[in-house]
Amino acid sequence: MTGSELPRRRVVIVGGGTAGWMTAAALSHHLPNVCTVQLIESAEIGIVGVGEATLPHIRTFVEALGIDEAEFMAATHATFKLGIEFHDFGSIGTSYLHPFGDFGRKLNDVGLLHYWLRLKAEGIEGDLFDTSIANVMAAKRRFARPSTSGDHFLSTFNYAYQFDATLFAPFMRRFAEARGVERTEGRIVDVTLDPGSGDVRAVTLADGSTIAGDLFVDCSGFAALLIGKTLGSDWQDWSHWLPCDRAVAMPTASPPGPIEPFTRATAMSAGWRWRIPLRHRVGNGYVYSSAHCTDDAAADALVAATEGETLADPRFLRFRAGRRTRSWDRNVVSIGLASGFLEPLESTSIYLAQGAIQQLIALFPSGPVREADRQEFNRMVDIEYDRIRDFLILHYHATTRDDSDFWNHLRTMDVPDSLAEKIELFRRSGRVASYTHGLFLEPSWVAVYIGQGVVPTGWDQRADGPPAPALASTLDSLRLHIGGLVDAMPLHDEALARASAATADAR
Amino acid sequence: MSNARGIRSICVVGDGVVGRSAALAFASALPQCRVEIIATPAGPSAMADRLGATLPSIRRIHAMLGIDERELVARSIATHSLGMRFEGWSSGDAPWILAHGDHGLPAGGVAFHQLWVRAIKTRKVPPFHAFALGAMLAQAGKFVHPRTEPGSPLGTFDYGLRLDPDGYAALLAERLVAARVQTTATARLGVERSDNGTIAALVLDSGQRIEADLFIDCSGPQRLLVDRSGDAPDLWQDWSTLFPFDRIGFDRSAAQAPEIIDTVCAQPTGWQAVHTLTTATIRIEAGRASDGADGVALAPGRMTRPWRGNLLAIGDAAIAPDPLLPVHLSLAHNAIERALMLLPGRDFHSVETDEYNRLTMQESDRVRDFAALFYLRSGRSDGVWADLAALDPPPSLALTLDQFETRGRLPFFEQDIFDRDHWLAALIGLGIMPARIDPATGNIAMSVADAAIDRLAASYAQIAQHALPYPDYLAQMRSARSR
Repeated sequence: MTGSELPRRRVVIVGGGTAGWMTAAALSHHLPNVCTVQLIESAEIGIVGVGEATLPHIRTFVEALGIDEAEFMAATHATFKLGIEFHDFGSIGTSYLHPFGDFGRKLNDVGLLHYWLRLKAEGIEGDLFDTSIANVMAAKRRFARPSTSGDHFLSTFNYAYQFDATLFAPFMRRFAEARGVERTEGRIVDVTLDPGSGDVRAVTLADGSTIAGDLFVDCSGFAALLIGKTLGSDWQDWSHWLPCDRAVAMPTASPPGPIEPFTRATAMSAGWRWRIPLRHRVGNGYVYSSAHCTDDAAADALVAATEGETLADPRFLRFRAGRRTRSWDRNVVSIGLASGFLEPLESTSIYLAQGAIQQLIALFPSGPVREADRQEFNRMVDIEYDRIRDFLILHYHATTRDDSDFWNHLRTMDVPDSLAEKIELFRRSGRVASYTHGLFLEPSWVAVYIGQGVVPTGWDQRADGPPAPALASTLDSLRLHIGGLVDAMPLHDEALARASAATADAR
Repeated sequence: MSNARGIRSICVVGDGVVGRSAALAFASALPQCRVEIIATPAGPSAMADRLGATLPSIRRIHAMLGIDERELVARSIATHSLGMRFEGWSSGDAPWILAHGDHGLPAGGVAFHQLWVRAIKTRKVPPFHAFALGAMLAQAGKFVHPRTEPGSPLGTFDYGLRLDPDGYAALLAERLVAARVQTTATARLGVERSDNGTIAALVLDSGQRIEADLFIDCSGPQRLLVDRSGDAPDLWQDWSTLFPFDRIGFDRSAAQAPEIIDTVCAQPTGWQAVHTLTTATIRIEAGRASDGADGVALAPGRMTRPWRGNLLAIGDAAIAPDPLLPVHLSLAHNAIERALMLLPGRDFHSVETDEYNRLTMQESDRVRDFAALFYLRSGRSDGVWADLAALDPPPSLALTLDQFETRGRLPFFEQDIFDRDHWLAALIGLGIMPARIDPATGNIAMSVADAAIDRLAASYAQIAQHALPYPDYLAQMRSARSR
């Protein structure tokens, strides 16, 4: 018995935003003989268009679809991204980059952080972030792709894209439609459940037509039409730890000068502000807590903080931090904002959708959905959400800011035990709780801890071995070496121009 | 300036392979720290001290300890091992091989095993292990060191070392002298505990009191330093239901030609394994005392918190897996490495020791699952095996079995010392097959996949054919060394 002999499963995707079209593209490409895909979207309902900034994992997703990078970048007006620069989070006036890459390299099995901590304790100060090649590249506005064949440090970083989300979903749509995904325009007015199993059988559109399916993917965003409104899957609310529940977004014209190969996040009195440089414009937005700031005040603050010509009026979004306790319930899989929301502080929205899509493909039902598969899907999705949640809370909690009620609440609140233990572990000896699966591994945590002033009191004892002067000069030559490698790279603007030229050649 | 909370002294109890390895690793990594060993009479049932088999991670450990494989070979302390051959496991008649390294090459984003599963449902294809170069070398009795060149077939497999425990322990003793680690023998050991449960000092039969910041219990199942006066179930998780063989016998005989792979045969009442060293051949037999099996007593299980305060248990003291898969020494090595990586300050804050315990538990439970797979899904229905087949697997193994049997997928677990290919080779070797073919295979045309499958098997068979027989290879290594 092979997959192609089974009747094809009818997948109905509800909602055509980023998550919906990503799901449609991936299912049509990876499981063409297994399912038919129909996507229902309504032009009346706007898309949120989350995540202009992405994480390096997006490259795996695009590559697995067989899409050429240059073509993809041109279609979405993408720039390269080496990390996220945080301003004013630990305290006003400080900044650091969370780079997509390691700090230096291990010496005698011991991470560079530990030697740095020891030297610091001995009064030998030096910049830790200068040992991260991605950080130095970002600072010098230079870019080259990582390489495993050249110098060791050229393999110690990664990159993502900053792109126009309003172009990304249409790009995915063209891809999916070319592979047979059928798009239906319409607004869903009714949902029919199977009286026995409680599964969703069909949805009815405003024009009276019905669309039946075996498996429904709820990509309806915050509306959560099927997973929430219809099935009532519980929502775990995290707004106590992540109180930001609004955003106001407003694009501006690109300023003169080089395009930054990184996203910027600047802490504000009631949240934080993003700045994402694309090829043709800059995306800006203020994520804030409505309990601490009115919409008008937020819009004013955003306008005041942005530079350059305003390209559109401020647009407001509402959300709530949390996730479904069951992202997959009955025969409904929720992907994207219908399944959960974490503010875009670390550009995780598209990643979360991507992770869920990968699990759905791996666990795709060939017949009725098995409870074991739902549980496994939810186990994997929950791991991702819960880890990212802790990582985001750290950005708010590791601060000395006391300039507003918002920061006073975040600085003094109780954090989840899982995070409290991680912070304590790091404070004591510079260790990061170890995981191999999921997002944000050791260097990411180190960047945020150190960048926001959580400096450990101890360190790996093995770092006490080498004499301090020799160690200091090892670190200095490492910084020089990395600086030299970066100076040999093209400027980010040149790298982008080359990428565009590559697309032109291909045409 | 050094770490203000740093550990200044370590006392290791037990001077078998595990105790000596731990002492050497800590003394080398922490030159400012005083390390000493208290040698107590060895218990016979510490498998990590007696079974010299190791996983490929041994090479990382030896790099850390500064031990050169060529020296071990020259001194007849080590031979190489590409994996294990299983006879009498699974309903199929042919023996199968669990080799280290890659099985097949992925194609177009589809896992190789899924393509193999699809192929075997439609035609006769070579067994799964034929797509692991290590297994093909082993089957031919050949060996060559893997190479790191990208793209080379010789970069797809890996090997471990089979150590002669006596010779290896002697080599470690030499290194300990060089590292100025003192060993003091005692017939009896008194443990003085503080009110908070930590160890204040050890008292030797000479009356000497030994104080240290950290005590490491490497005394095997005796667990000489562990306070057993408390609530026992909290201390030890018993695995004897899953692993009913409570006796293991060792028979050392004259050396025969060294084999590149260890063979283990299932029998109605247990199993028998042969490990060939250059100095001797060891026959190992495991079974139930109630079936008349003889030898050393086994009590499989693990401690629930191997690091508690200033006491760390490593080796069989902390985890005693069933010896079918002899990973005991590799687990002890991993524990040593992890303890160094996470070494707390001498106040031993629980947030630090808990992280060690969390990772160790994850690793232990996956080792339990992997071994339990061979017992619960042996494919045999004779003797003790029939009872085992009726047992419920632990939930994490049940998840693996369910996902694999349904669709050939392996769920992810942290800290698994067996990689995906080990799991696949074992599941398929035991005759467990996915019910459904991965729909993603539909993207690769059957004819294309078939050609690639046949080509790969032929290529590996040919490489194996041209490699040197293992005894010749070993002899060549020795003569190169002596030149």
